[in-house]
Amino acid sequence: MARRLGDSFWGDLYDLVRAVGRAMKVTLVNLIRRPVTVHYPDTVRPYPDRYRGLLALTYDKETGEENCIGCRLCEYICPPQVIKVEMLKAEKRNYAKTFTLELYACEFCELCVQVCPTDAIIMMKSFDMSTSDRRELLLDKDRLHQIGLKFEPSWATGNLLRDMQTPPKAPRPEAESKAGAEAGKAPAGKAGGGAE
Amino acid sequence: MQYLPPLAVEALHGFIVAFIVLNVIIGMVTYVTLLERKFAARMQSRIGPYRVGPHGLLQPIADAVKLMMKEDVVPRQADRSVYNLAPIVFLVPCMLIFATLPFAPGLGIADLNIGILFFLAVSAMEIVGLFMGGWGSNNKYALLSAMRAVNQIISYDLPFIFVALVPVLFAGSLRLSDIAAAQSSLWYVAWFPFGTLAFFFYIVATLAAENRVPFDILEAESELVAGFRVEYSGMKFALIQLGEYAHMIGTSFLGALLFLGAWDGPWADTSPWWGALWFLLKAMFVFLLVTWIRWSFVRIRADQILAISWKLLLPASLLLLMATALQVVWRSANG
Repeated sequence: MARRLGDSFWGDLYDLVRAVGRAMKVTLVNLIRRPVTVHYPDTVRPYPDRYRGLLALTYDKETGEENCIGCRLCEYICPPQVIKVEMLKAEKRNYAKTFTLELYACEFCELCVQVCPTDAIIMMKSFDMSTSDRRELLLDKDRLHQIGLKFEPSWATGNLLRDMQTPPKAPRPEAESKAGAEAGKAPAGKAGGGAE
Repeated sequence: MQYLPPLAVEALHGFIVAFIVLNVIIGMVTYVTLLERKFAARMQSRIGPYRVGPHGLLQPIADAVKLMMKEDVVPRQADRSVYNLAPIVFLVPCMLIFATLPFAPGLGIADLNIGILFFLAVSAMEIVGLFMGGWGSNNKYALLSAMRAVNQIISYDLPFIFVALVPVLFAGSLRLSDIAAAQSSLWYVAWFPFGTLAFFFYIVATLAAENRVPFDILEAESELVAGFRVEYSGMKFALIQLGEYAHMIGTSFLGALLFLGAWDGPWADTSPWWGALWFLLKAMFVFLLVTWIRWSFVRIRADQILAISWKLLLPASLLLLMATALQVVWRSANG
């Protein structure tokens, strides 16, 4: 049914002219419409809400205390193992004595954000991490704090993500009351981690 | 001027005009690069040069300054004399093609009675400099590119010349200003079908002669880096670049002159400057048309390029030339 190349001269010519016309139409349309690129440092494209960018540690707005309790969950889950946390035990709650994140090896998978029980580590809406010295990408607590102040945070936090990913709770009054009793002890337990 | 012999006056006049034209062409070349970059960027939905000056208007100057400040590297094994001479041998014919172009009635360096022959002969000479550069660099890529260039440019010069002769037949003169003046009633591109077909063939042959993308095997970036100029840097590179763009502008001007009526346009008879403006705009139109084609297509294989030239374009342009000749004879016989 379909004509093959070389079957007829005029057919080939027609195909050729049509292909040429189509190719040139694409570039002509591009020429007329607005460019899709922007002047990057001057205008920044709006980031998506769930943008996975630079990582930062959050601090309590009122007390100025860090939210990290040094539980090392992020260190355990990190696939490229770029996070190192040392816990500082204290009376009321624990802290992170050191928190280092090797951003140059980070793969921005967001797993650390997903597991964080206290929403202490979050991602920012920014990819502005170029530097002339690789050592500047070795983030300690201070640098992570600064990043948190400098950029706009992404939507995702550990608790929000877990709420979203939990299957809708079945109306089980006795289980809920039990879970509510347990939740009093843990600071902010995994919301419905094991529903059965 | 009475105390100078007439020949000296003529020589001095020619020299001054040539100096002006040369500088205007060099200035135009720098800004045509910007035009092409902007145009190409928009075709790819980009913005293009923007940072240097308002809307990137000073970009060509920045490029020129950068090229002048670059280190001039000569490969150790290069054939030094050939290598150093090549950019000049390449540039001179590319600049010489403007010698016979009349930019407006009476506004040109030399209006030879064989102007178009001069143009075609000189523009074919750039291949010498090109091959010298490829050979003298002592680089396999450069040599391959130069060989491909000779292959391609010689193949496409024949259809180019035959097609350029179609307007010559129409006008009955080899003088470029006569050809331009003969189109005041109807541009040759509108002389269907011969003039239109000839213009189409001219564009295709121009693409090949200027090594633009569908026919750019000699500087195929992915295979041959930068082709025959891969070993050149600094001012020598700038000279080659200048020559290439000058050649492009020259062929665009010739295309506008042969097919688009040269300086014909509104108010052209009131002042030569209007004519020069129309001519410039038409030449830029041809240039942008070629650029448009360039940014729309992918590279063709070397054998396909030669096949298109020898099997299709050359016989077609020969037939076209013969048909045009017959038509012209028939026309003159029937009044």
